[in-house]
Amino acid sequence: MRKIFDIIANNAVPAVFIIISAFAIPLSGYSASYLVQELLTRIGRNSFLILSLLIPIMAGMGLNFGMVLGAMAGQIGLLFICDWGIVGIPGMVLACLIGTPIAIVLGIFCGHVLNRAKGREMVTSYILGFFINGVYQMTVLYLMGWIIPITNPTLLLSRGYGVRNAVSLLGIRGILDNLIPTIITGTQGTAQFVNINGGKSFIMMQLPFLEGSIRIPLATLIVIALFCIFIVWFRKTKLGQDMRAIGQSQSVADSAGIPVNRTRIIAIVISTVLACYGQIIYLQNMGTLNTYNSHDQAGMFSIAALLIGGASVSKATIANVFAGVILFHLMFIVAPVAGKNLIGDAQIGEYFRVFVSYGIIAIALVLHAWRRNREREAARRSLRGNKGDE
Amino acid sequence: MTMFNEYWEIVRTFLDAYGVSYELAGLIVLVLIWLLLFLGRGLSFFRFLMRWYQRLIIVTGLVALGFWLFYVGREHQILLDNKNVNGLKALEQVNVSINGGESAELMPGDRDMRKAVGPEFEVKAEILDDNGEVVSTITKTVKIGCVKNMTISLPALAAGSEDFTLPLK
Repeated sequence: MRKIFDIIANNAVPAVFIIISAFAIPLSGYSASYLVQELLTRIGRNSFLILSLLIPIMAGMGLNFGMVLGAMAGQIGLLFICDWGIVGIPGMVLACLIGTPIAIVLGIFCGHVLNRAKGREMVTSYILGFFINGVYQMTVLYLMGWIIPITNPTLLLSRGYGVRNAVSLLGIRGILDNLIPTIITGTQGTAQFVNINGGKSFIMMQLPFLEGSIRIPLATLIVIALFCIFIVWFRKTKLGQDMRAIGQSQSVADSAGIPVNRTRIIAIVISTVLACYGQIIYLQNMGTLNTYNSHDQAGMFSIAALLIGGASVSKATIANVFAGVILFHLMFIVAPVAGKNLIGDAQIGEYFRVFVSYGIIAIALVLHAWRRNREREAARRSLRGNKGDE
Repeated sequence: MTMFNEYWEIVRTFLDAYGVSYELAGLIVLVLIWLLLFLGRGLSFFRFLMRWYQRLIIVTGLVALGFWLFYVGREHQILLDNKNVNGLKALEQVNVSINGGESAELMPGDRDMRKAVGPEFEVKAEILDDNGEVVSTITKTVKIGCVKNMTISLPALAAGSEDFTLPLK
């Protein structure tokens, strides 16, 4: 009985989302090809950001709300390439190059702060995100165009310094997504995308059960796959093993001679740098940079998706990432239309999605805390020689 | 002292070219020196030197990559100018395309803009007569380097001059 309860408790969050989606998808009336297209786009857009959360979890630092620091670093890189007019893949790589040192410095800073707040990393990194957001806003709003040279007048506010709220990323828009143009077509969609990318050749596959056409961001998916391979490889390295040991027990790891604080800082630095790249991939897909807000929700949405995928504060896998992206974003796509078709108002569906999504996150965190307390209690009982209450 | 002045002149030219203020450059140098001393604390001089030697190679490689990306990825605005210049009369009608892109149709006195990416581009000008028939076609590869904007004088280009970017020398 307890085992069944454990299975349900461990998978409660994804199960609730699957049930809600099962009701919402037919209500929305969307076709399968539309849903698959939207999900593929969103997987390409968000997965890298969410994957960047895995390494700090491995090191026992919980969900890294400080990933917004990396997102800000990525945005600074993008602002510079927009100013200099660097476009295409070189522009994207240059943005990563500019963002990397900024992300490393911010990651080191974040790691040092979190080492002084052991056991309270999540709330500390959350608040640290607000603090660095202030520094970022000051830099972008006052220093850029004044001390930091920005020469492109379309980027600057009319007063002569400070960056505008909306920056067009037309030069790198969809550049990675469309690098290897790939289309899956069904029985009715063969002629729709013939002139894609100015007549460039593209990979085309046909699936008989599909109607319409689906564009696949193949290059982005390859980058994400490489990142997954990196994570799998990283877990087997000495550093990865050290992080796992620290994640199990810091005191035991310290006794075994593992430099706990240093390893924790490295985990945060890696996560921040990867979040920087993730934000650049995210924004190249969106095509517009909201200078003062784009990074705000990056952490919250990524963490929400990861938790919905069945991860917890102390354990997360690559499968959780993809399950989370699919379930979380499926709700984003179908909930407003399902609400509109059910009640006649799309806002109701959107309210429902927000209410359920974030309510579920709260439940996931409460379940984790409850489970951890129960495990601690069981450990204490076993130390006292009491077999427990089974 | 003369050598220092020469180095300073090179640095100053670079800073002026990219619009970096001297205060900002000074601040970056101070931060780098502080970082160097901070990260090298507690190490023997040899190990400190070796570590920084390795790091310097990596950083230099990355900076070089950055400059290369800047060079190959820069988007340039190419202004196409069909006006009288230095005694050369504006062309009656000319269709101009950059790197085989969408062509611009220019009448006497017209100016249009196209964009090109990379350190060089190919300009193709089709000169038309009054009846709209193509009289001649000129194709040239132009090296632009890192310059953001360039103005091409189409009458000068049609006249076969090597100096066809405005202002003419």
